[in-house]
Amino acid sequence: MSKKPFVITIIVIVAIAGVLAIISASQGRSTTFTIKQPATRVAIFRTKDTQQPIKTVTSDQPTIRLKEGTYYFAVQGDKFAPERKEFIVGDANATVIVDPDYSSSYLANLLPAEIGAINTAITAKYPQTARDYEVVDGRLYKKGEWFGAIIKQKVDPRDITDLYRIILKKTDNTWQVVNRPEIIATTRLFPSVPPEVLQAINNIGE
Amino acid sequence: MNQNRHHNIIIIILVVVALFIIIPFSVFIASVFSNKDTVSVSLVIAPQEVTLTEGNKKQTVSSDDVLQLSPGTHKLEFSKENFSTVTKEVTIDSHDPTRQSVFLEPQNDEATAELETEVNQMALQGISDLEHLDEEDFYEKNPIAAKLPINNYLTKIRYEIDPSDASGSSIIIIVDAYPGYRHAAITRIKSLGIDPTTLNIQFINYTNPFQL
Repeated sequence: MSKKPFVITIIVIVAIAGVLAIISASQGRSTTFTIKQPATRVAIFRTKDTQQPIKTVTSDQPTIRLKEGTYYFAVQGDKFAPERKEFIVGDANATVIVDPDYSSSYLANLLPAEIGAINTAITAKYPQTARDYEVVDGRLYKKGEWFGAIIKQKVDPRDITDLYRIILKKTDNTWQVVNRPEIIATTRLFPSVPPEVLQAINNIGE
Repeated sequence: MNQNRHHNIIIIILVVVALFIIIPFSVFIASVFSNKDTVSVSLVIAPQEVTLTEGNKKQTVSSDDVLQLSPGTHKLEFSKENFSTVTKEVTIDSHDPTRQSVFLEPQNDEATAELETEVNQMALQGISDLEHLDEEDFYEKNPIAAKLPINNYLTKIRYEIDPSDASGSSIIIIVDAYPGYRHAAITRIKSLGIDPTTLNIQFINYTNPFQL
């Protein structure tokens, strides 16, 4: 009996498997985006600066194929911060967590509903703030759970006084002062506050 | 006659007012430019306070003092009664700040007892730390150290080795500023390209008005 058909069959199978492997590799790795915010579209970019996204994913269709390399994603819509975040697709299937902070304009719109409770929390902790100080330039950060502001002594505008930075956190729907106001909010004095929030609060008014 | 007298009084008042304006302004300008062509040399000394002689110039220096030395070689003599005298040749050939450790050997029991005090023990620890510390690593970890001290009319910013860090590689930024100008000192640090958020900053003559 001839072995020729058997050998040819094996060669064809190996060739088909090889072609499929090449096609699969050329299409890239399966990359799944775990999107923490509902009804959100996430644009995928090849570089940090390109305008046109190469793909878009949503909570309903969170998986795409990407070749190995470095990519950036940005969450679309006015509600979220526009910053692009980097992610890397390696030689295995990847999962990317998308948990964007709110945009500064969206946070500014949330502030009026919170400021009353924030001022109450500050006055409860430091009663002298209502009498001798004023809270100015207050802003929300991240997803609206952090608040930072400058505390300024009520003096004649010609007098120069030290400015203090106060930070509050909203936990279980209640605002609480994190630590006493300080001239500079450092990671040593506010270890529980994300460093990027401290940096932003230290830059208020500049 | 009377008119001349009035005239003289007006001139005297104008001169006094001018002096009140010119003198602080000159001090400010001098403080801005005085450190321009010098390099900071931080001292770690045990015993804590010694006499430094350079040529005919004598001064009392202590640990954590910062000398401003011009480029070139300086022969520095450190002395104190009951302690040995140490002479150091310090060559300043770049604009990079540097540090010098100085230890004077006690010459009698009284001097040995003096070295036992807490402040001298801290200085000895500082010398030991400095001798085991890589200068390059130190400035890489504390880039602001290379830019201090800063002295101007309203604020003074310097650093000290943080005694709570046994490695001797951590620093405390000491800000001495008039009330109302402490924030200006922070702005000055930012202008150096340093993010103050991660620094250990202490203000001198300052009490936080808000309770913990």
